[in-house]
Amino acid sequence: MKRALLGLVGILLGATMALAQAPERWFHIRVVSTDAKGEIVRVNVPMSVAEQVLPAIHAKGLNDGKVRIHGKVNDVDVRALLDAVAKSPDNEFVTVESRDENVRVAKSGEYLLVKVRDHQGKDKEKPEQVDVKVPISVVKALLADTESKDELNVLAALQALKACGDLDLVTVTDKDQTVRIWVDSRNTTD
Amino acid sequence: MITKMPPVVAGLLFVTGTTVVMGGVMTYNAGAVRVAVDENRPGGDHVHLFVPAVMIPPAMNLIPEKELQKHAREIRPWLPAIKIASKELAKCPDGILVEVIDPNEHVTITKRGRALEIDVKSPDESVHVTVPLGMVYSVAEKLEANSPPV
Repeated sequence: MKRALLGLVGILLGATMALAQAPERWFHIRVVSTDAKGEIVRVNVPMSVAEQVLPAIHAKGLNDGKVRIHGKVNDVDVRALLDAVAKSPDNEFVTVESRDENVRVAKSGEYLLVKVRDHQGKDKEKPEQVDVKVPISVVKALLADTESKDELNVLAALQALKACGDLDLVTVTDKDQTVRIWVDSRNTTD
Repeated sequence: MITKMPPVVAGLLFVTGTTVVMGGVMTYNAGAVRVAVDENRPGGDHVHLFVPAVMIPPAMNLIPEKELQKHAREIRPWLPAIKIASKELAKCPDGILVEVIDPNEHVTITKRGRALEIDVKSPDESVHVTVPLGMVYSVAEKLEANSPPV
């Protein structure tokens, strides 16, 4: 009995220490301008701060951690569409191959992938490349507990993202700049 | 030879000493706002300010109420978020929050300890500002009290 109790205390202590030492997750944005000025902007936000602050913002279309999008989404049931994507096996859902660009939207494992390659665009020297990798859990959270179709639950998405590992969410490369948005446990960008 | 100190002088010394110690403790706890502006040219100006953070919220009482209300109204929607951010940031590990580098300037906003540090370095001058997060909270609270709810 004594041994079992000691074991239980040990487990509780270990769990507490593991929780206490859980590293802070950081949300990073880096924009590097490729022009002559070479401007670099780096933003690093602790996710715990963002999680607490978001519900307190009631401005610029953001309310209680939910943002109202002003696009044409009424004609498309985004929720049903993404739900179907989440439930379906790995597949390519959209493939557009045109003279100007290739677009690919696919589900691979736990991720929704979007790839755009602007191979014959305006600027042939450095064509635009966009890569988006979003965990399906984040997509689901984004659409959860919303009152209308044009609302996105940013707070829930952030909470879901916190549970994911290190991840490159968005990379955009074009002739003017490269943009990278990612999540990890480091408090520096490079 | 030990001379006996008059009680009035002893009392004054005690009050002064206690005030200095208390002031030191309060400044240590609340931190201080530090502003340093250094011009890089020869003979350039060097301005260094050190203001204990505990003095800022009471000093805001000196701002005309009309002026304070005007600014408070503008920033009102963001005040709850600013209050929470200042509290939560204090708990986070240190790190650079924002960095902007261009050929003429290098700007960083860093969280260090219980303060935010803002540094601007350009060929002409260097500016350093330290703002205790606790003071950010107090100022936001003061502004909130001076503005009608949205």
